[in-house]
Amino acid sequence: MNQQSYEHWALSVDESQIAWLCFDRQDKSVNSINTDVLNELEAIVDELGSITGLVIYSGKTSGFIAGADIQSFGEWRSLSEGIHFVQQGHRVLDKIAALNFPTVAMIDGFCLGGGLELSLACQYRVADEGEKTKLGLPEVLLGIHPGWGGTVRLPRLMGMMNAFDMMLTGRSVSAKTAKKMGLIDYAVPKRHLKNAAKYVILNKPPLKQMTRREKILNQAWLRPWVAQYMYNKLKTKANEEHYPAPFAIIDNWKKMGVDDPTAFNQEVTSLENVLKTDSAKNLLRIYYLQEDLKAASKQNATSVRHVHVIGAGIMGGDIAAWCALRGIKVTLQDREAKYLSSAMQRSAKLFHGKLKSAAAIQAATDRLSADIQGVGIEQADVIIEAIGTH
Amino acid sequence: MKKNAQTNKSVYVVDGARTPFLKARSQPNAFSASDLAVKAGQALLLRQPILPTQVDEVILGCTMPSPDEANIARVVALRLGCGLQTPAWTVQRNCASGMQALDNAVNDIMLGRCEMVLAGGTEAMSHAPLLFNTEMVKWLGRLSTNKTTIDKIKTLLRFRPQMLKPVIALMHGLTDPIVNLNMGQTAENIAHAFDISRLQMDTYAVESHQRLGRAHDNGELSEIIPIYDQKGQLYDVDDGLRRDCSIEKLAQLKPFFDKPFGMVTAGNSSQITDGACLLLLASEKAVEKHQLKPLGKIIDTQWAALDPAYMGLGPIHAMSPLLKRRLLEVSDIDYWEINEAFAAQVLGCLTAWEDPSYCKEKLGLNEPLDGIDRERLNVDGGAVALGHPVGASGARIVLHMLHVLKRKQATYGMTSLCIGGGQGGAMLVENVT
Repeated sequence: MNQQSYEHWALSVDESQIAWLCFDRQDKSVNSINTDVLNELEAIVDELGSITGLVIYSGKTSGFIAGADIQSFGEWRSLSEGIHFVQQGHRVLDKIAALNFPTVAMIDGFCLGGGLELSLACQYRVADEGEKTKLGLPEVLLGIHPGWGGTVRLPRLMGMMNAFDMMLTGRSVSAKTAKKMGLIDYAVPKRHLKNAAKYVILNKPPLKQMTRREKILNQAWLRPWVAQYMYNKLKTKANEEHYPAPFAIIDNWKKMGVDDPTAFNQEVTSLENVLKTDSAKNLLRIYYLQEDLKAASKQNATSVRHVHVIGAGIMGGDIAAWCALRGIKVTLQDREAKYLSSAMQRSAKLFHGKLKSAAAIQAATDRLSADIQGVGIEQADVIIEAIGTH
Repeated sequence: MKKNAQTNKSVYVVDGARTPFLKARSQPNAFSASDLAVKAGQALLLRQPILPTQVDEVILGCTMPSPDEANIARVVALRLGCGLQTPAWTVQRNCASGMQALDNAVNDIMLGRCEMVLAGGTEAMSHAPLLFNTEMVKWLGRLSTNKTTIDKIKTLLRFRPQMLKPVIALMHGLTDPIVNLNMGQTAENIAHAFDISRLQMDTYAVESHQRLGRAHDNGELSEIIPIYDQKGQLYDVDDGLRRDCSIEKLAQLKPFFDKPFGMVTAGNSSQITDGACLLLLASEKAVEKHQLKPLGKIIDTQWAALDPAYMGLGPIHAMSPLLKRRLLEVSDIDYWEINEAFAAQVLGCLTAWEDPSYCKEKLGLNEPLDGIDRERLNVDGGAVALGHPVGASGARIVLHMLHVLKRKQATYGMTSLCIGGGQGGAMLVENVT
């Protein structure tokens, strides 16, 4: 295996002539894409030569790629610098999409925004089926929309209904759901991830095709009606004046569909318009503030393992249930056993609603114990008094 | 070898907790056997000054864990947060499985292998499965191996409705395969051998309910912890207790096992019940190190065996050699617990215990034993009133005995059970509070 190193990427080619390209951003614990990262990626792709296939994966334990480096947005001196970054991304991803050998994104952990768009430029996607894997395009939550071909490639891959569901809400999906939707080719246990990536390169399974229904919905003559339907539905959820981005996604699709190559240009133009709006600026500002808060909370984070809650009313009971849901051992105290009944019922409802597997529900249930005598006080890291005043 | 392993002389019962015993009705109760054991274990461990991970081993008795609870003790240990590195194993000695778990815990502590062991038993009898009968299993097997459609159709045509008749696992579990008698029929044997009347049995059963009711009312069952199901329903009492139980009412019941002339009814037998009981056992060293406040000591245990057709007399076969080995007289024992599998069987034990010929022939004693005072036996009722979750009962009677000794400020307690298959087990405990 010969190896070549860059600042943020490491390339190695194995005995089957498969190129394994590891993304490991030098100065950060989480992979995100900025201009430097794109520059290097472009140089690597240009020099790949004749190989059997390309696997892109992450060197971080935290996840695959969180998206474009949003912190770097703040360093733009003008909008044109931002647009230049968007266009650079398009150029590099187009080069990956044009490679004439199989390409695979090997996804382990989160794969969001620009990271998912990079994976969409690959022919195949395989992912770890574990809970950590989340795939999504959350751009609308920042007041913008996907800008590296995601608004075109995602509906092309899985049809507009599912694609819009993800893009307009910004919600992310698990690996298993992504497999069902056709977003990824394999959701496998982590131990088989490399085997799966190798398998698709060596066996080139047929690429996912749009179903007939998806193709029909994409017809130019039908698109205005479908778009209007989506638009009306969206209007009940969001105000176009304050959140123009999701409306722009529908509009772009109405104009261009997904087959026309100029759809990618439309995405760039549209994103430029969206970036100009106050809503994008404000939502991005909120994002930066949230990041500051997260960083600050990390500095003085203490690990709370056991919370004791006194008072099993609505407030106390729900605090207890949430703590148990989040993996904390909880003892819940009230005057008599009967006063815990409704808290126990609500906690069961919460666990069943939030947790998918029976094992996770059982574990959460086991973390919450009734404690009439208050013996948990002795061991608890935090004691919360939630006694109602009538 | 540099040094011999340090053995321990005394084994303490630090504390224990049990779920309320919940009668099996027409449908499975809300809790699986592991759910019940986890709830009892949680409450027990929470009130100790040690962490669950400090327990060296978990041993549970359980006769019918569900298919997804293989080695149920390990399942429970992990759910209790005892940690990945705490070994756990499950024991099965039918009705005495919970006592067997305690005995194994005692052994491991005495041998110096462990300092603290969580031991007890659990059973969810209401979850006992219905099984396909052999004909059905064969038919399904044939169908799954048929390759051609013609063969499959042929097999399908061989289906007969009677193949759907289920095998009730619980009924088979409670039937002795050697003498081909169910447990109730072995109790009928004892009633016949010692001339015990239906009235005597029913009188005993009524008293069991009365004693349990009184204990509940006086708050003397502090070993019970409240549990909640997914709907938030609270369970905090043994729900097999019938406060309106009377001799007149019991007299109306038909014999359950030997129809129509038998005497053993559902009313004078133990109930089919779900429940779990866990105890924390510790060496003297561990008691000092962690400043534990023990309830008592386990002094000694005896296992015995006899004709399966008279399995109900097992307790006296186990208790008499235990007294002899410890050089104790009947009068030295302050309180007694004989698990009430059947009223007939407890009454049989009391009669045989004083019967010169039985003592001579079966127990090898020259003199019959002194009678056991009914006022010192099962003082707070027993399995006839609160049920007999097979894997848990052995642990329950030991824990309850320690509470009785503490309450009465007495010293020695003898606990015993009869065991399906023709055995008896007895455990002698001492109050240290």
